[in-house]
Formats: sequence, structure tokens, C-alpha cells
Amino acid sequence: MKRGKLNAQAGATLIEIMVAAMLLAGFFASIFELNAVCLRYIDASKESVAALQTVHDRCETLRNLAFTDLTSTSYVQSLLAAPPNASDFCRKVTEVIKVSAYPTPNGITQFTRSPNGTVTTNSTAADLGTSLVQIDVSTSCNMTLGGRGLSEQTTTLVSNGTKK
Amino acid sequence: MKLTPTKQTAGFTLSEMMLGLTISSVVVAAVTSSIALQKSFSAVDNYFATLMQQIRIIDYLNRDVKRGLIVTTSVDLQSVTVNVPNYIIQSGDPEAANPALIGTSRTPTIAYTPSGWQVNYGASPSTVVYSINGMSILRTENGVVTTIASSTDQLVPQTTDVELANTEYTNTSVTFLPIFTTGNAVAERSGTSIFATAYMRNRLRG
Repeated sequence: MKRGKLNAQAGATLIEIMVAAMLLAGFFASIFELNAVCLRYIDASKESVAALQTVHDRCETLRNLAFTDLTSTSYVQSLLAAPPNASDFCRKVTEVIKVSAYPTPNGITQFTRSPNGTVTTNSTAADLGTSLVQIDVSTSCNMTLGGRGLSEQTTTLVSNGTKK
Repeated sequence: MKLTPTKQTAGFTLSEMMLGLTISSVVVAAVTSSIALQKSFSAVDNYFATLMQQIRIIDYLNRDVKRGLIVTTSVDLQSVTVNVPNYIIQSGDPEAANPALIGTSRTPTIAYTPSGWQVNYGASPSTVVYSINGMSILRTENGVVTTIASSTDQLVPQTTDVELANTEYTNTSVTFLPIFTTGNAVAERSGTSIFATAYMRNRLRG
């Protein structure tokens, strides 16, 4: 009897097949999870872009106010009731806007806009001057991906004057 | 006579059938998954690429609007015309008689007018037009066409021009239709929106 010939013709055992199937299933589960991670990162990218755009749009709104309006606490507070743009992202961010005289501040006027649109005046500057102000705009929220904190901030200077 | 079943006519046992079915199921699932994953990764890659195109469109348009003198949008909001001061000396301009000045910044004339100081970069501003041509978004400046974005995902920028008493600004949204949709194309397109606001610096508040 030649046992070697019999072994060569022998198929895989049930255990071998089951192990192979499990490895294959694990491999595909990993690939699918990788794909899901890619999709979640797309969402994160969209949120990052939206956050950047939110800061930019708010800054644009403020820098184009008449100087007397920009230095008016009540005017800016009512202006901030409107979101920076029409994106859904604006409904989940908290905005903080600071206005101070430049280069030598004399107090800081600070507003906080909650995700629900409520605007609070945290502090009012003693004097914002009549020539140049510094504006700090920052947004923060928790990202959909992992609930990690996301914040964007920008600073700009706005001068008094007319440009026609 | 005793009939005994031979091995040649024997069928599969239940366990063999189940094992065969399991293996074939795994193979079919593997092939199907591979195709689905390939399509999904392709869609993800495409989505990222188009997202970058959206940002590119916003960036270009905002830059021109900020330095523009006049912005006009078409009725369907998909075409934008911006008149931009001639900041740079170009071939054919009067100053270009000196070739060394081509490509350099033009020195404006500054005059005091009843409405305040006026900075003038010349009588004929450049005309920049943003338009959709097939799958591409074009920027045409004085007849020179630049393709600023191109995608098969039906990119659509829409710009609204808002003119106030002492200032003017544009609201732009750029959307596209992803490869994978759940059947509600309107909602899928809306979900890709990127918004931007740009004020015209040359029409700044009084």
C-alpha cells in the first residue's frame, strides 16, 4: 500500500476549511471597516471646510460694517443673531467674537453666539477708539468623528474710513 | 441476486453538500464584496476630489469678487460677471510701451472727490466671467479661458449678488451630485453644499 499517493489526493479537512473561511471573513471585515473609516473621514473633512468657511464668512460680515456699527455693542449683538452662512454646520458651532482697539486695547468687547443662535455679550470694552480695531473670530464644536473638538480662529484689523 | 449500490452512482452526503455550499457562498461573497468595495473606494476618492474642486471654485470666485468693482449674476445664478480693476499692466496697455513694465503693478491715480478719496486704476477694467460649460467650471478674463474645476459629478456653483446702500456682497454655494445616491438626488446634492460670503472691497461701507 502506498500511503503517499493517498495523501496527495486527500482534500482539506473541515477544520482547515473553517479556518480559511474565518480568515477570509476577517479580511473582508477589515476592508469594510477601512471603507467605513474613509466615509467618516469625508464627513470630518466636510466639517473642517465648513468650520473654516464659517470663520471666513463671519469675518467678511464684520469687516464690511461701517466703523460706527462695528464699534457699537448693540449693533454687533443683533448682527450676530444671524448665522454666518446657510450651512447646517452653523447650527452646531459656538462662535466667540472679540473686538478691541488696536494697537493698544482698552478692554475687550466679547460676544458668544450659541448653536441655537442666542447671542450673549460677555464684556464691553471701555473704549474701542475711532481709527483701528482688532477682531478675533473663533468657532468651536465637537466633530461627528469621535466627538473630538474642532476649532478655527482668525484675526483681522479693520480701519475707520471710506473706500469708494 | 443481490443488488448492491456501487460507488459510481453514489451521491453527495449532507455534510459534503453543506460544506460545498459554505465554500461556494464564501467565494461568491468574496467576489461580490471585492466589486462593491472597489466601487465604494472609487466613490470615496471621487468625493474627496470633487470636494477639493468645490474649494477651488470658492477660492477663485471670492478672490475676484473681493477685488471687483461690479458683480452681476445671471437669472439662473450659475453665471457670474465681475469687473475687476486693471491692477497689472498687460500687453496692449498704454504703459506697456515700456515692455519692462508688463506684468508689474499699475500705479493708480488718487483723487479727492465729493464722495471721498477715489483710487483709479484706469478707465477699462478687466471683465471676468464664471460659467458652466458641460462638466467644467470656466473662468474667462478678457476672453482668456481658464478651466478652474472639472468633474463628472455635475458641479454647480450658484451665486447671489446682494447690493445694499453702502456695500455689496455675494453669497455662493457650490454643490455636486455624488456617485452613490440613495435615490433622493436633491437631498444628496444639498448635503454636499459649501457656502461662502465675499464682500466687494471696492464698494466698502461709508
